[in-house]
Amino acid sequence: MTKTTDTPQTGGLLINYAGKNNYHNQTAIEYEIKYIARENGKSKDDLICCGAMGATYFTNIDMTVKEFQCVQLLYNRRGSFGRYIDHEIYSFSEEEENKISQGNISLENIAKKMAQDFYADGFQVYYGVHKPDKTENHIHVHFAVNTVNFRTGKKRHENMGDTKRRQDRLNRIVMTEIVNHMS
Amino acid sequence: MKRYSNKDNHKKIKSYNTFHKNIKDSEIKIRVSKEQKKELQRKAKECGMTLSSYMLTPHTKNMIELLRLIPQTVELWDTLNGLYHSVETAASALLTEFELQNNALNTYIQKNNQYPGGFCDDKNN
Repeated sequence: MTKTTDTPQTGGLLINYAGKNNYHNQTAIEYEIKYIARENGKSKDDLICCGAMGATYFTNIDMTVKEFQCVQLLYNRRGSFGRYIDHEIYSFSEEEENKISQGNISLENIAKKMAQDFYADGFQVYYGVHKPDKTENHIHVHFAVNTVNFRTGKKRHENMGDTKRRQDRLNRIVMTEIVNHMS
Repeated sequence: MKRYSNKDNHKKIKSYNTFHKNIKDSEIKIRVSKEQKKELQRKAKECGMTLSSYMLTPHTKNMIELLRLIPQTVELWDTLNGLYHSVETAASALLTEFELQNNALNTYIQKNNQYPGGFCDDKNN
Protein backbone atom coordinates (compact mmCIF):
# COMPACT_ATOMS: atom_id res chain seq x y z
CA MET A 1 0.00 0.00 0.00
CA THR A 2 1.45 3.35 -0.99
CA LYS A 3 0.27 6.27 1.05
CA THR A 4 1.28 9.87 0.50
CA THR A 5 1.19 11.64 3.87
CA ASP A 6 4.60 13.32 3.99
CA THR A 7 3.28 16.89 3.81
CA PRO A 8 0.28 18.46 5.55
CA GLN A 9 -2.84 17.90 3.50
CA THR A 10 -5.20 20.62 2.40
CA GLY A 11 -6.53 18.52 -0.43
CA GLY A 12 -7.74 14.93 -0.41
CA LEU A 13 -5.63 11.82 0.00
CA LEU A 14 -5.06 9.12 -2.60
CA ILE A 15 -4.16 5.63 -1.38
CA ASN A 16 -3.02 2.84 -3.67
CA TYR A 17 -3.62 -0.64 -2.25
CA ALA A 18 -1.11 -2.32 -4.59
CA GLY A 19 0.73 -4.29 -1.93
CA LYS A 20 2.68 -7.49 -2.43
CA ASN A 21 0.48 -10.36 -3.63
CA ASN A 22 -2.64 -8.20 -3.48
CA TYR A 23 -5.23 -8.91 -6.17
CA HIS A 24 -3.19 -11.70 -7.76
CA ASN A 25 -6.25 -13.87 -8.21
CA GLN A 26 -8.39 -13.58 -11.34
CA THR A 27 -11.53 -13.36 -9.18
CA ALA A 28 -10.22 -10.07 -7.75
CA ILE A 29 -11.73 -8.13 -10.67
CA GLU A 30 -15.26 -9.33 -9.96
CA TYR A 31 -14.78 -8.98 -6.20
CA GLU A 32 -13.55 -5.38 -6.37
CA ILE A 33 -16.10 -4.12 -8.90
CA LYS A 34 -18.99 -5.71 -7.02
CA TYR A 35 -17.62 -4.35 -3.75
CA ILE A 36 -17.51 -0.81 -5.15
CA ALA A 37 -20.96 -1.07 -6.75
CA ARG A 38 -22.33 -2.70 -3.58
CA GLU A 39 -23.51 -5.63 -5.67
CA ASN A 40 -21.87 -8.10 -3.32
CA GLY A 41 -24.94 -8.66 -1.21
CA LYS A 42 -24.13 -5.92 1.30
CA SER A 43 -26.30 -2.88 2.02
CA LYS A 44 -26.28 -0.01 -0.50
CA ASP A 45 -26.85 2.65 2.14
CA ASP A 46 -23.38 4.15 1.78
CA LEU A 47 -23.26 4.15 -2.03
CA ILE A 48 -23.73 7.67 -3.43
CA CYS A 49 -23.06 6.90 -7.09
CA CYS A 50 -20.98 4.68 -9.35
CA GLY A 51 -19.87 4.50 -12.95
CA ALA A 52 -17.15 3.39 -15.32
CA MET A 53 -14.85 4.61 -18.04
CA GLY A 54 -13.80 2.26 -20.81
CA ALA A 55 -16.46 -0.26 -19.83
CA THR A 56 -20.25 -0.09 -19.77
CA TYR A 57 -21.82 0.63 -16.38
CA PHE A 58 -25.49 0.57 -17.37
CA THR A 59 -25.58 -3.12 -18.23
CA ASN A 60 -25.34 -6.09 -15.89
CA ILE A 61 -22.33 -5.81 -13.53
CA ASP A 62 -21.09 -9.20 -14.79
CA MET A 63 -20.85 -7.68 -18.26
CA THR A 64 -18.60 -4.93 -16.89
CA VAL A 65 -16.37 -7.58 -15.33
CA LYS A 66 -16.15 -9.44 -18.66
CA GLU A 67 -15.20 -6.22 -20.43
CA PHE A 68 -12.30 -5.83 -18.02
CA GLN A 69 -11.26 -9.45 -18.58
CA CYS A 70 -11.49 -9.03 -22.34
CA VAL A 71 -8.81 -6.34 -22.32
CA GLN A 72 -6.53 -8.61 -20.32
CA LEU A 73 -6.33 -10.95 -23.32
CA LEU A 74 -3.92 -8.39 -24.77
CA TYR A 75 -1.33 -9.25 -22.11
CA ASN A 76 0.76 -12.18 -23.30
CA ARG A 77 3.99 -12.06 -21.31
CA ARG A 78 5.22 -15.38 -19.99
CA GLY A 79 5.21 -16.11 -16.28
CA SER A 80 2.85 -14.99 -13.54
CA PHE A 81 0.18 -12.47 -14.51
CA GLY A 82 0.64 -10.50 -11.30
CA ARG A 83 -2.12 -8.14 -10.19
CA TYR A 84 -5.39 -8.36 -12.09
CA ILE A 85 -6.84 -5.16 -10.67
CA ASP A 86 -5.59 -2.06 -8.88
CA HIS A 87 -7.61 -0.57 -6.05
CA GLU A 88 -7.14 3.11 -5.23
CA ILE A 89 -9.15 5.28 -2.87
CA TYR A 90 -9.39 9.08 -2.92
CA SER A 91 -10.58 10.41 0.41
CA PHE A 92 -11.86 14.01 0.38
CA SER A 93 -10.43 16.39 2.97
CA GLU A 94 -12.73 18.11 5.44
CA GLU A 95 -12.28 21.41 3.61
CA GLU A 96 -13.24 19.84 0.27
CA GLU A 97 -16.21 18.07 1.82
CA ASN A 98 -17.56 21.28 3.35
CA LYS A 99 -17.21 23.23 0.11
CA ILE A 100 -18.87 20.47 -1.92
CA SER A 101 -21.69 20.23 0.58
CA GLN A 102 -22.22 24.00 0.80
CA GLY A 103 -22.12 24.44 -2.96
CA ASN A 104 -24.32 21.39 -3.56
CA ILE A 105 -21.77 20.24 -6.12
CA SER A 106 -22.34 16.97 -7.93
CA LEU A 107 -20.03 14.26 -6.56
CA GLU A 108 -20.80 12.18 -9.61
CA ASN A 109 -19.29 14.83 -11.90
CA ILE A 110 -16.17 15.08 -9.74
CA ALA A 111 -15.71 11.30 -9.59
CA LYS A 112 -16.17 11.03 -13.34
CA LYS A 113 -13.50 13.66 -14.00
CA MET A 114 -11.15 11.86 -11.61
CA ALA A 115 -11.79 8.57 -13.41
CA GLN A 116 -10.96 10.33 -16.66
CA ASP A 117 -7.41 10.79 -15.31
CA PHE A 118 -6.92 7.00 -15.17
CA TYR A 119 -8.66 6.44 -18.50
CA ALA A 120 -6.47 9.02 -20.24
CA ASP A 121 -3.45 6.83 -19.40
CA GLY A 122 -5.12 3.89 -21.18
CA PHE A 123 -6.73 2.01 -18.30
CA GLN A 124 -10.35 1.01 -17.82
CA VAL A 125 -11.68 2.14 -14.48
CA TYR A 126 -14.79 1.46 -12.40
CA TYR A 127 -15.48 4.06 -9.72
CA GLY A 128 -17.88 4.45 -6.82
CA VAL A 129 -18.46 7.25 -4.30
CA HIS A 130 -19.11 6.05 -0.75
CA LYS A 131 -20.19 7.83 2.41
CA PRO A 132 -17.90 7.84 5.47
CA ASP A 133 -17.57 4.47 7.19
CA LYS A 134 -15.43 2.63 9.75
CA THR A 135 -12.30 2.73 7.59
CA GLU A 136 -12.71 6.19 6.03
CA ASN A 137 -13.81 9.25 8.00
CA HIS A 138 -14.71 11.27 4.93
CA ILE A 139 -16.58 10.78 1.69
CA HIS A 140 -14.30 8.77 -0.56
CA VAL A 141 -14.09 7.50 -4.11
CA HIS A 142 -13.05 3.94 -4.90
CA PHE A 143 -11.29 3.24 -8.20
CA ALA A 144 -10.92 -0.28 -9.57
CA VAL A 145 -8.35 0.09 -12.36
CA ASN A 146 -7.60 -2.61 -14.92
CA THR A 147 -3.88 -3.40 -14.71
CA VAL A 148 -3.63 -4.00 -18.48
CA ASN A 149 -3.47 -1.00 -20.77
CA PHE A 150 -6.14 -1.37 -23.48
CA ARG A 151 -4.02 0.62 -25.97
CA THR A 152 -0.64 -1.07 -25.52
CA GLY A 153 -1.44 -4.37 -23.77
CA LYS A 154 1.25 -3.60 -21.17
CA LYS A 155 0.90 -3.88 -17.40
CA ARG A 156 0.37 -0.91 -15.12
CA HIS A 157 3.23 0.07 -12.84
CA GLU A 158 2.67 2.83 -10.30
CA ASN A 159 5.23 3.81 -7.66
CA MET A 160 4.84 6.26 -4.79
CA GLY A 161 5.89 9.17 -6.97
CA ASP A 162 3.25 8.33 -9.58
CA THR A 163 0.59 8.07 -6.88
CA LYS A 164 1.64 11.44 -5.42
CA ARG A 165 1.49 13.12 -8.83
CA ARG A 166 -1.94 11.61 -9.49
CA GLN A 167 -3.12 12.79 -6.06
CA ASP A 168 -2.04 16.33 -6.96
CA ARG A 169 -3.97 16.12 -10.24
CA LEU A 170 -7.09 14.84 -8.46
CA ASN A 171 -6.78 17.65 -5.89
CA ARG A 172 -6.69 20.15 -8.76
CA ILE A 173 -9.76 18.54 -10.36
CA VAL A 174 -11.72 18.92 -7.12
CA MET A 175 -10.60 22.52 -6.59
CA THR A 176 -11.37 23.45 -10.20
CA GLU A 177 -14.86 22.00 -9.89
CA ILE A 178 -15.45 23.91 -6.63
CA VAL A 179 -14.16 27.19 -8.07
CA ASN A 180 -16.18 26.80 -11.30
CA HIS A 181 -19.31 26.12 -9.33
CA MET A 182 -18.86 29.13 -7.12
CA SER A 183 -18.07 31.57 -9.93
CA MET B 1 20.48 -44.09 8.12
CA LYS B 2 17.00 -42.77 8.42
CA ARG B 3 14.46 -44.71 6.45
CA TYR B 4 11.30 -43.12 5.14
CA SER B 5 8.05 -45.00 5.20
CA ASN B 6 5.86 -45.33 2.11
CA LYS B 7 3.48 -42.82 3.67
CA ASP B 8 6.26 -40.23 3.99
CA ASN B 9 7.39 -40.86 0.43
CA HIS B 10 3.86 -40.42 -0.84
CA LYS B 11 3.59 -37.07 0.95
CA LYS B 12 6.92 -35.90 -0.50
CA ILE B 13 5.94 -36.92 -4.02
CA LYS B 14 2.58 -35.21 -3.67
CA SER B 15 4.12 -31.94 -2.44
CA TYR B 16 6.82 -32.17 -5.10
CA ASN B 17 4.25 -32.61 -7.86
CA THR B 18 2.11 -29.75 -6.54
CA PHE B 19 5.12 -27.45 -6.44
CA HIS B 20 6.44 -28.52 -9.82
CA LYS B 21 3.10 -28.98 -11.60
CA ASN B 22 4.34 -26.97 -14.58
CA ILE B 23 7.31 -29.25 -15.29
CA LYS B 24 7.32 -29.96 -19.02
CA ASP B 25 8.20 -33.62 -19.17
CA SER B 26 6.09 -34.55 -22.20
CA GLU B 27 6.30 -33.55 -25.84
CA ILE B 28 4.11 -33.39 -28.91
CA LYS B 29 5.54 -34.01 -32.38
CA ILE B 30 3.78 -33.00 -35.58
CA ARG B 31 5.00 -33.00 -39.16
CA VAL B 32 4.54 -29.80 -41.12
CA SER B 33 5.91 -28.29 -44.33
CA LYS B 34 8.65 -25.67 -44.22
CA GLU B 35 6.17 -23.01 -45.29
CA GLN B 36 3.75 -23.98 -42.54
CA LYS B 37 6.57 -23.85 -39.97
CA LYS B 38 7.66 -20.39 -41.16
CA GLU B 39 4.07 -19.16 -41.09
CA LEU B 40 3.58 -20.42 -37.51
CA GLN B 41 6.86 -18.84 -36.42
CA ARG B 42 5.83 -15.55 -38.06
CA LYS B 43 2.43 -15.57 -36.32
CA ALA B 44 4.03 -16.40 -32.97
CA LYS B 45 6.48 -13.52 -33.39
CA GLU B 46 3.60 -11.19 -34.27
CA CYS B 47 1.90 -12.09 -30.98
CA GLY B 48 5.15 -11.73 -29.06
CA MET B 49 5.16 -15.42 -28.10
CA THR B 50 7.46 -18.39 -28.49
CA LEU B 51 6.34 -21.04 -30.95
CA SER B 52 5.41 -23.45 -28.12
CA SER B 53 3.36 -20.81 -26.25
CA TYR B 54 1.61 -19.81 -29.46
CA MET B 55 0.65 -23.39 -30.29
CA LEU B 56 -0.54 -24.07 -26.74
CA THR B 57 -2.79 -21.00 -26.75
CA PRO B 58 -6.26 -21.64 -28.18
CA HIS B 59 -6.70 -19.56 -31.35
CA THR B 60 -9.53 -18.66 -33.62
CA LYS B 61 -8.78 -17.94 -37.24
CA ASN B 62 -8.98 -14.19 -36.79
CA MET B 63 -7.64 -13.93 -33.22
CA ILE B 64 -5.02 -11.34 -34.02
CA GLU B 65 -7.51 -9.17 -35.88
CA LEU B 66 -9.95 -9.46 -32.98
CA LEU B 67 -7.31 -8.45 -30.44
CA ARG B 68 -6.44 -5.42 -32.56
CA LEU B 69 -10.07 -4.27 -32.29
CA ILE B 70 -9.94 -4.11 -28.48
CA PRO B 71 -8.79 -0.45 -28.18
CA GLN B 72 -11.62 0.72 -30.46
CA THR B 73 -14.08 -1.53 -28.63
CA VAL B 74 -13.13 -0.02 -25.27
CA GLU B 75 -13.64 3.48 -26.67
CA LEU B 76 -16.97 2.38 -28.09
CA TRP B 77 -18.08 1.15 -24.66
CA ASP B 78 -17.15 4.54 -23.24
CA THR B 79 -19.12 6.29 -25.99
CA LEU B 80 -22.12 4.10 -25.16
CA ASN B 81 -21.84 5.25 -21.54
CA GLY B 82 -22.01 8.85 -22.72
CA LEU B 83 -25.02 8.14 -24.94
CA TYR B 84 -26.84 6.35 -22.15
CA HIS B 85 -26.15 9.25 -19.79
CA SER B 86 -27.45 11.75 -22.37
CA VAL B 87 -30.63 9.75 -22.95
CA GLU B 88 -31.14 9.33 -19.22
CA THR B 89 -30.67 13.06 -18.60
CA ALA B 90 -32.92 14.04 -21.51
CA ALA B 91 -35.61 11.57 -20.44
CA SER B 92 -35.52 12.93 -16.89
CA ALA B 93 -35.81 16.49 -18.20
CA LEU B 94 -38.72 15.52 -20.48
CA LEU B 95 -40.45 13.72 -17.64
CA THR B 96 -40.07 16.74 -15.39
CA GLU B 97 -41.46 19.00 -18.13
CA PHE B 98 -44.39 16.60 -18.67
CA GLU B 99 -45.18 16.54 -14.95
CA LEU B 100 -45.10 20.33 -14.75
CA GLN B 101 -47.48 20.68 -17.70
CA ASN B 102 -49.73 17.97 -16.33
CA ASN B 103 -49.93 19.73 -12.97
CA ALA B 104 -50.71 23.06 -14.67
CA LEU B 105 -53.47 21.40 -16.71
CA ASN B 106 -55.03 19.78 -13.67
CA THR B 107 -54.96 23.08 -11.78
CA TYR B 108 -56.72 24.83 -14.69
CA ILE B 109 -59.40 22.11 -14.90
CA GLN B 110 -60.10 22.28 -11.17
CA LYS B 111 -60.43 26.07 -11.22
CA ASN B 112 -62.80 26.08 -14.18
CA ASN B 113 -64.77 22.98 -13.29
CA GLN B 114 -68.52 23.82 -12.94
CA TYR B 115 -69.07 20.70 -10.89
CA PRO B 116 -66.21 20.50 -8.45
CA GLY B 117 -65.85 16.94 -7.20
CA GLY B 118 -68.55 14.25 -6.95
CA PHE B 119 -70.89 13.00 -9.69
CA CYS B 120 -73.09 15.13 -11.92
CA ASP B 121 -76.52 13.78 -11.02
CA ASP B 122 -79.03 14.55 -13.79
CA LYS B 123 -82.04 13.64 -11.61
CA ASN B 124 -81.37 16.46 -9.14
CA ASN B 125 -80.76 18.94 -11.93
